[in-house]
Amino acid sequence: MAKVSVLNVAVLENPSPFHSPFRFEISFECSEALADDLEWKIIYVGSAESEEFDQILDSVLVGPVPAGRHMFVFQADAPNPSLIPETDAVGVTVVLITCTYHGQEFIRVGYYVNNEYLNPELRENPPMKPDFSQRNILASNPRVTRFHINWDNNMDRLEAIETQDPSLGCGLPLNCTPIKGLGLPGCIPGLLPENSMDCI
Amino acid sequence: MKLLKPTWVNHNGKPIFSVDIHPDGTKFATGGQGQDSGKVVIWNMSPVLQEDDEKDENIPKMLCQMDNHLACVNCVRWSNSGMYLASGGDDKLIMVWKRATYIGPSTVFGSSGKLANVEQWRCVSILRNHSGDVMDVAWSPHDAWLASCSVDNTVVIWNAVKFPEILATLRGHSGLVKGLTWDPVGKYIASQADDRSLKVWRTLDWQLETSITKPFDECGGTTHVLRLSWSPDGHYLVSAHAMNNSGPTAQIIEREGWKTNMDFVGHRKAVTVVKFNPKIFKKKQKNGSSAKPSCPYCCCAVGSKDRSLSVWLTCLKRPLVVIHELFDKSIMDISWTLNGLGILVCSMDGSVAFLDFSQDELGDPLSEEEKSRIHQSTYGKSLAIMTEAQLSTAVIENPEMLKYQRRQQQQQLDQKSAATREMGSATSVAGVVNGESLEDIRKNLLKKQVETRTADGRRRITPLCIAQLDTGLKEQNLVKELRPRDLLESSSDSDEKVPLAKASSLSKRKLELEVETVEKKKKGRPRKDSRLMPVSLSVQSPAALTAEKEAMCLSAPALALKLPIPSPQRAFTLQVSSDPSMYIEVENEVTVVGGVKLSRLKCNREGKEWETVLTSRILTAAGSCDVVCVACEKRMLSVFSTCGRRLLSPILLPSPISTLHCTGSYVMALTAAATLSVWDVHRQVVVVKEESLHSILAGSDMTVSQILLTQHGIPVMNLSDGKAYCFNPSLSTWNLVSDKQDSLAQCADFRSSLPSQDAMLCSGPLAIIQGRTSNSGRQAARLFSVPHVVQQETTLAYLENQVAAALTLQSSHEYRHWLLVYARYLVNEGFEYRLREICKDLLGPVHYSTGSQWESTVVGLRKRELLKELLPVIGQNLRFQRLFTECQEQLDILRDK
Repeated sequence: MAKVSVLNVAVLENPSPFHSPFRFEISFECSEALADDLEWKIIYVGSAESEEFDQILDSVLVGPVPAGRHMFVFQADAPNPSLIPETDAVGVTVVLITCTYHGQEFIRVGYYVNNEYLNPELRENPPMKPDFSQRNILASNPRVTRFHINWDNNMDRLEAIETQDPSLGCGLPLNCTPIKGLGLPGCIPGLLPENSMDCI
Repeated sequence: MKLLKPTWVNHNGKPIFSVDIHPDGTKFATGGQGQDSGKVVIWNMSPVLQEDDEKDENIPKMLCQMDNHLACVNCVRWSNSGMYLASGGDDKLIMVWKRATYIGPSTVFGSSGKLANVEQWRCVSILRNHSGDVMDVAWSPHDAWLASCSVDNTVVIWNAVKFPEILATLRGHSGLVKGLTWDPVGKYIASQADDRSLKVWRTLDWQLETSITKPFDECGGTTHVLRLSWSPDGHYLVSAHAMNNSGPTAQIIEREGWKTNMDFVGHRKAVTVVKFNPKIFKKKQKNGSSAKPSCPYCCCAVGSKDRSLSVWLTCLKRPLVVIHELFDKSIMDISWTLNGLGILVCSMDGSVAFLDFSQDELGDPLSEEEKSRIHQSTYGKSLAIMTEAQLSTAVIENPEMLKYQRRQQQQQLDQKSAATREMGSATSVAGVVNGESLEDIRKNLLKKQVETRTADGRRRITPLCIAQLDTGLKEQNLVKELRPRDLLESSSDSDEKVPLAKASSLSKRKLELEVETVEKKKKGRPRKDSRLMPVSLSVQSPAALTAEKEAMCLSAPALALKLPIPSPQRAFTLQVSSDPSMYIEVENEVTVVGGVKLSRLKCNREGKEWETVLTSRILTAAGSCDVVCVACEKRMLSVFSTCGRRLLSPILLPSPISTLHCTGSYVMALTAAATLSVWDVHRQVVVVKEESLHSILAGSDMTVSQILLTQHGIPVMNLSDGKAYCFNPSLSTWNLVSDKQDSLAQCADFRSSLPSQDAMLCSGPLAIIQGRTSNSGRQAARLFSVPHVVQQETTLAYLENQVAAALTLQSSHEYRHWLLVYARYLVNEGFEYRLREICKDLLGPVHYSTGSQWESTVVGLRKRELLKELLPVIGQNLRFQRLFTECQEQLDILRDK
């Protein structure tokens, strides 16, 4: 069973100017003390077209994690606007929060992000050179995808991977490569979603 | 009979493999396949029972669902107390769930709101041991054990008091084990497997009692489960899938002799599940019918792969009811309500059916009291402690008793509420942590958050713990707290490497002790001075003897015993203890002073060294923390203080030394002529004076396999025939304190009187002599043929022996332990006279009288303190309330004085 389950992610300071940092208050529950740290990442999807515009805004280790309920605030700087294609600067994109243990991703929380101009005039006639103005995260609609991983020691993990159905590929992402989309089960080949809570 | 299929009980169309109704009847659990995982759901029972509740939208139907199992859940079972739920699944795990009371309804993050869990059930233990799918789990009648069986062909017995401790792994099946059932009186557990056998195991030694194969010879094909069941009266065990004349049956196996003469016939396909009604029934008395009392009978439901269910009464030749095509697929599990009138059935097709019977159909259920009377008359299970139901009807005669009982209840309540308060204060999520509300914390979380950099420069956040989990950690801590004390207590055991006499032959016991010693050393536990030291030596039979010059003649020369004498060595070293490090070095004939050879004795204690010289060769040496003694040629024995000061002029022994031994300030010398002396060198008194071993070694080729000297200077001889004698200085007698072949020990069953599991570790000289293994009920098989009265007698006799032996050995700790066990047994079994006698002795005369011979202490324990310890034990049985009162009052009088 999953030793860590995310209880809630609160999006702080939302909406906020584009250049202000992301702040997520994450509470999670751990059923058994973890031997190693959890690794959390915030990934900003620069463009829906290609993964190459994904920006890992920050990654942080969280630990030690004894059994119990815990919370922390994960703050990451705003994405670098120069790495975002101009065509994607305004509109809907996605920010992902992922957590891995022993290099295995077990949860992925996706939020839609709407970048828009506050000024109605600008909305009507956006400038040629996009001016990043306001970011609005659709906090009420997180998309959560959970994956089975091996929580025990490394040897077991190798075994677990070996015993997996080959048709699914040696699927667990041992390094967390940013993946397009919102982590819908169907979109992620080779992953075994535990349960996806599609509620949009 | 009413039949209902609550369609809302489903796993979204996925199969339901198991169903179990909570003992309080308010909820039930289902287990099976979920979306991509195993699923356990807890449902509200009232919407099943009442149509109004079903329609009422305010009454929740689903109380909680748990998706934690990685693969299909094959079995869910409530503990008899209803506190825990155990689930086992294809992920090889058993999870034990407990309700977390402090958290209100919650939702799963990221899910829409309607999936809220009304109740929070939290996994408190994950039991990992099986190497294959877990097929069935079962709680023992008193919730002390949890059994699980698996496709890895084993049955595992878990200690339900101390998860995840494994008590036993039952191996013997050669196929997938698919069903388990405990005998209602707890003597057996039965398992059924794909290997076409049903095996019955004893719970006292976890060995196979019998394996039944005949009714299963014809069984072909496989069923998903083979859930067998034991009747509530214990008489019958009914198997799942069996065959008789190529027809599928449920085989009835009689407890008496495990006979297989009857079966339930009629299903067209294999029987997957059998479940006995928890109640025993008797015929409904109709007005006007003869008052002839009818035999009580049981009721049993049988479910099959043929999708039909049959319900049988053991008094009828035909089924009470058969429901065909109840489901679209095979029946997987059945559960009765505790009142015996309702039944839930689940199926592979993912639906559940509820059957509601009336008392007219089934009969009058016997009360728990009547049921326990049946058990008692049949099995003699000690039920002298009244069940709670009986207790409530007993009149409490005196206010003290009432107070005591109330206090007990209050204590329990207090503990509970304290626990919840603790949890509540520490954990209430919306509440306050360290005097700060969660809101405050959240405001400042970012500022307060501890952030560090790892060696490779990465950010590392220490999360703020906002709640501990009530995962039963508290109990675990309690257990842990207890541990060190146990260790401390057991540290009085022999810890030291034992100097072996030259001619020694290691007995098995000796080996065990050595192993123990080594293990303890590994643990690195602080070592106390050894108070007991086993020494091995053998006695040569008279025939093998050649007369020696200094041989002593005993009064009966024909039986003269001769013990081996250590031969003089050039030099030797002896380790007395390793912590504090202390060793003795002996060098014989080293210095020559004016033509006289001297021997040197050196002693090193924690780096401090002293040495002295003796005029004759040293044969053997011994030491303790208080004294060092050496035996020399010419029968001389010298004793020195720890700093090397001579304490006594040399003692002339009656014959050459054979074994020398020290414990504390006691020195024990065993001579070649088999006489034993013990002196207390500090007080300079003789404890045992030249006592002959003749009486205990006489007659046969017995040898002494081990010698102990207790810290009270009591010598104990373990003989090769398994008997152990100690010498009682005050009576000048050899007393038998232990006998390996003691049949009493093998028949005595007093486990229910043991204070707790850990108490078996009670240590001391008696434990060393008798060995650590619990003798209780070793020979479980024998118990069964033994009538209860005989068993009571043997248990009493055994316990009395133990108390007396501990007393003789002056082992106060063990005396107290066995006295309490004995008293508890007397209370449980209701032996008033003996109990009264004990109390009287412990209490002594309340009013001072000069003629009184009464001693206020026994082996260093104050008797009245012991009595105070006994009182709560006595108070457990209302039958003894008068005795309780008397003692209580008199103790009060004494206290007021």
